[in-house]
Amino acid sequence: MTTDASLLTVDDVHKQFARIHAVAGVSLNISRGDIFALLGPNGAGKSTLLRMLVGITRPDRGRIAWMGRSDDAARVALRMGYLPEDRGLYQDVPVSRVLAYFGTLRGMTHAAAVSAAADWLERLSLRERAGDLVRTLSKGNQQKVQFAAAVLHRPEFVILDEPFSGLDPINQEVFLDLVRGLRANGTTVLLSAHQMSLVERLADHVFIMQGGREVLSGTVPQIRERWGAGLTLILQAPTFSDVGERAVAVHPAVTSAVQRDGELRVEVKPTHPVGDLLAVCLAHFAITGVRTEQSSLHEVYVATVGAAAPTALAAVTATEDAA
Amino acid sequence: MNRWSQVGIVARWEFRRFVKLKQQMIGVVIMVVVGAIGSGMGKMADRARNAPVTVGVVGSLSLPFVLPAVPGVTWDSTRHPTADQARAAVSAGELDAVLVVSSPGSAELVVKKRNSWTGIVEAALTGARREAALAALRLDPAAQASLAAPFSVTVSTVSAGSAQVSRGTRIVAAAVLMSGLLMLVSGFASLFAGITGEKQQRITEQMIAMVAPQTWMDGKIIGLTGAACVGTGLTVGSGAALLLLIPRVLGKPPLNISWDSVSPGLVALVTLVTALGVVMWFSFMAAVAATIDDPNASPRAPLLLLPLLPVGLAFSLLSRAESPLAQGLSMFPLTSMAVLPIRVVLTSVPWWEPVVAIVLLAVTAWGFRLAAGKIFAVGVLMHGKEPSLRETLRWLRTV
Repeated sequence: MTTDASLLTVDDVHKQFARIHAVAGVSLNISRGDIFALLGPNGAGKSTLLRMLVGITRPDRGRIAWMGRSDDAARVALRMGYLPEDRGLYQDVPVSRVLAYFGTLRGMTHAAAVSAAADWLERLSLRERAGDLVRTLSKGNQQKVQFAAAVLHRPEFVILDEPFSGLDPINQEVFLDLVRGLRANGTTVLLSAHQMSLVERLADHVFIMQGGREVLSGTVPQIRERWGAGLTLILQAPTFSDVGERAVAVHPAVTSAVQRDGELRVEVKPTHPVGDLLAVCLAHFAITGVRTEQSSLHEVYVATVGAAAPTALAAVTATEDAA
Repeated sequence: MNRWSQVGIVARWEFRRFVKLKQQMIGVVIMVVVGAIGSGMGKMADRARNAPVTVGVVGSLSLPFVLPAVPGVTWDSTRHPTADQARAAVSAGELDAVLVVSSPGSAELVVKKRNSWTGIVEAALTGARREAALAALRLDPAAQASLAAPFSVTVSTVSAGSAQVSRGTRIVAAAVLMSGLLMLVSGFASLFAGITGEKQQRITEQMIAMVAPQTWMDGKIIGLTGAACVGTGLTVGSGAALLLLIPRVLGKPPLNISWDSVSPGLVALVTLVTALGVVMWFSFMAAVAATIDDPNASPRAPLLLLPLLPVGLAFSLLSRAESPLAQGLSMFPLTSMAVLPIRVVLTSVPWWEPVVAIVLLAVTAWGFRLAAGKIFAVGVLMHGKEPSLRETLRWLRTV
């Protein structure tokens, strides 16, 4: 499973709390320089897996290897950054002091940490707040400081657990740019999130978990192709004859054809070529416009994970109680 | 990054978090002001006690002695010849008191209201009567001095290594012990507030990702010990300064401590035992605090008082410091911090007793530190519920 470019290899990792199998045999591979999204419902085992990667807990079984080595020193060598889901900052301390403290704990000299903290606060438009106590910042600004704390020391690999949660749309865009900036600087990013539209725009690779196991994984186009409902052709014409509609509906590439709001929505099976289908359409209708829609990651997620929602909900409660 | 470098960084951070020199200096100033007010009131009380009083005497001829000279007291046996007149004069405020002599050996002292000097008058009259009785025996001055002198007892020991402990050594040893206890109390408050605060502010997971739990806890203990030392030093220092200043303000002789007589060995022993005890109890406290979710509602808060129990025990053993119970407790690690110094100062202790006590205390402190590190590692990441004792013990085996 390990490739030359593999930075992290997780091989059949298990973690159990009491009788709950929080992570049940997960295997994945993250390449250097990728943005890797770990998705799944609450209680799917994402945070447990991330905690094992960070070294907070250890797997009961399986292997976690960094650049082919599974010892702690290999992980430490990457100077990993971590933004936990359960996050907070020292509230009664000035912002710049908190950042400098975290930087020095990550091995930076005090001077380097102070300088990096100033740079990040400048980038996050918080330079004027450097001397203010953390508790005087808004929630969004505290989250920015938290992000800076996770990446201040220029990690090679950073784990961001729910980086977008609690942020307004403007700040979500800011964080999106920050994560892209990390990748541009060569940092490999592993993130967990529930905001599918953001993940879709950001991630190179998606891994969906449920009940501690992999549900599906791949690049976003691969996932759309393999697990999505396929392409939807939306045809516009003055009228749609019944004969023509039947001819389209029975075409081997078509899943369904439905008239709605004066348009004909034709769902095309994944991986099927549409040239022949378009020819059939042109033969029957005086087409004035065509547009296409693809299955979004959100739809794929809901389709694959949502079906087992009641089971997942029970698992969440049990896992959280056990953890 | 080196583990001990991280310990140092955490220690400095915790030290700076909890040493608030400005507030502590304000505390010292308040203490000095309260001390100054107290000594001023003491001086006023002295003045009131030494204010001159006039005591009328009725029937002084019946006394077998001459009325003695008492500082601040003037005897007046001429103005009011009868007891009733004298009583009326006391009621009217013309006299402070009247001494009505009823027989050669007794008298009634009538005052408008009770005063502190009446005891001094009674003691002076008793002394004058005894001297008169001795004079009546016509003894020579040497015999009289012999009768008045107290019986002198000097305590000495024959056991090796049990030389008499000087007053200076006792005071320094007691000061070190009290400082240790003060450190425990103030350090506990900081540890408790710090750790539960970090849990409530959701800082713990981020920290554990950067530093190993044991490293974090060690840094905390060192930093907070330093902070407690500063706080205790300020309190003890200002207290000592007040003790030296107050006699001067009151015009009394200063404390007589000869520092030459202080035993460095004994002071070092008490300091070592105190330091080990502080590490042991701070580790215990860190573990307890890590298992507490809400400090305002936790039933575990009274555990804070647990390390103070040996101190109470030590005080109760002050008059039985040589007993087998005291000897056992002076070597038992959970009580040796408080009991050993008391035994060493008050009794003759064989050389091996402090050695055994220190070894056991050091081993226990190290064990507490490791066990507390395991509990801390799991406890600081738990939110919402407090682990049972059974769960906590399971962590000790499995983490």
